[in-house]
Amino acid sequence: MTEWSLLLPILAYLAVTLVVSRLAARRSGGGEEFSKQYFLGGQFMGGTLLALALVTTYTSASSFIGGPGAAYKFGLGWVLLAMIQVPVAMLTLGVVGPKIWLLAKKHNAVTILDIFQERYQSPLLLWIAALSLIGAFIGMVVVQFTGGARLLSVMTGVDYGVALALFVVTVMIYTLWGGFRAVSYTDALQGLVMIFGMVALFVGLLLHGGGIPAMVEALVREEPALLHPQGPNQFLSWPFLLSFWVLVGVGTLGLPHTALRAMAVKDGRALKQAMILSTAVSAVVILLPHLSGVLARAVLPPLASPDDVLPTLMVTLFPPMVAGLLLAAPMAAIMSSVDSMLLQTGSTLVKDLILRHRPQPLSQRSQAWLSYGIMTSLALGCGALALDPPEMIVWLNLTAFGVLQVVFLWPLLLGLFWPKANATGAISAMLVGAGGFLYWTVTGERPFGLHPVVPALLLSGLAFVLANRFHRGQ
Amino acid sequence: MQKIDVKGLAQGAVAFTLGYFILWLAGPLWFSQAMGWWGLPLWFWSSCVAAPLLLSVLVGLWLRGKDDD
Repeated sequence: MTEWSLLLPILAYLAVTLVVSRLAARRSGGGEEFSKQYFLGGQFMGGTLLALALVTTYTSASSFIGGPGAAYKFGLGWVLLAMIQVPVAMLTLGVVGPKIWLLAKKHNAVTILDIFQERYQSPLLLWIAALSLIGAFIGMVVVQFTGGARLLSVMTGVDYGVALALFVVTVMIYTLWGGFRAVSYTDALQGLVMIFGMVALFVGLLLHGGGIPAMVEALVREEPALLHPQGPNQFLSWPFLLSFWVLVGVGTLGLPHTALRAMAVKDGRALKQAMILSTAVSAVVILLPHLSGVLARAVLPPLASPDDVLPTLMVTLFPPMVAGLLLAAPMAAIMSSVDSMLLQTGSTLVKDLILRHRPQPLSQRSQAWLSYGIMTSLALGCGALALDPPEMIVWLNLTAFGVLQVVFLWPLLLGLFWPKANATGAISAMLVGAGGFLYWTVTGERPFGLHPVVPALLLSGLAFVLANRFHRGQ
Repeated sequence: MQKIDVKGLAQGAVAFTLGYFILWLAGPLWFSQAMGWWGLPLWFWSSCVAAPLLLSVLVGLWLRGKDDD
């Protein structure tokens, strides 16, 4: 049966999201080429907007569903692991941000692939990057849609198909309405919802559980290893923990949907403000949900699925109308990642694969219809796949994050900072990195107990340098 | 419109991330057996509360200082 008292605040939140996106779309200035205006929106982002949009794009369902679920299972060690992500936004903005911003300004770039084109001038490299990006993002979007719809369906009792349609239609409408600009403003709103939701949940948990010492005492009685950095059965070994400094830390420097944010920053002052604010916001939206996941073990009966820990906490601790508002936080996290991935996939298809290869440029009107058509097809296609996700999609999602890192990290970083970097080196790094990562993921081998992304990135970097030298030698 | 100091920002961001890594690592390495405070172990306070707090404050001081350059 549908819990309308939970569902109504969520519907109200979705409606507010649409209103914000409409207002943002109205503020977008005309006069520029359609694809540039729609997929980037110009260099308009102030510090607060950039910080909130970047952190919400980076944090997804895993930060509010999977992550707290793992913290519920493995204890404080998982919180330690999650806190690796705190400096990521600051590092992205500080290291790749300024260079990308300058290049975008100089070459009128709209996508990360535009930057690659300017830097390497290689059609083959563009195709490899574009196909990796499209495949990876489609897999990630489908799984995010599935997670969001399942969460909504389980908590409110609404049919899964209806919940999915709500998600897909909302994201599709606001992405179509205003493109990157609308997505940035709605992401900022979603960031505020996430901060408010997590602070409220944590305070509610402290009051309900009688304070941290009382809850920790209950945890120790149940399983003392929950307080140990390595967790029960030493699951969180040092190689595993340190691998995450690459997987969710340094490796994310090359992720196209987060790096792209830096292209839209207004000026140097906004960039610095965003670096300060994003560090503080990351600390809050990462620490509170994960710590709540651990402490929830002391106040909730055992859960069949650890992933349900935060939604269960919300409906246990708060009256339905408030719980409905709090449920908007994980939904905001999902939508803010999905919209950016959809937009990136759309811009890659339209700008990098179609417009770039047409002998005659398209008119502004045709560009607009092409972009709207592709964005609608992408959103509906991913929604259709999420109705009954094929096994391949689930597998793709598991590997997508790693593949994006190994394909983009070195070509982007070395392309920006190494004047001698060439296309041969970059293509070799992409192929060797992706090949190595897929091999170690499929076989399940863990060299030195490390996550596959670590050796794959090492090999990829080595391949870049060697192939680069070989090409120059020739 | 303010210009962007490409080299300075990149070097600072990397240095602060390295510093955070050391603080993050120090908790479980040095304090994993130490007594806790307010129910939670000392390593947790050090790595998951003090380290991000210190990072936020220091990044704020560094970049506000750069604003005045």
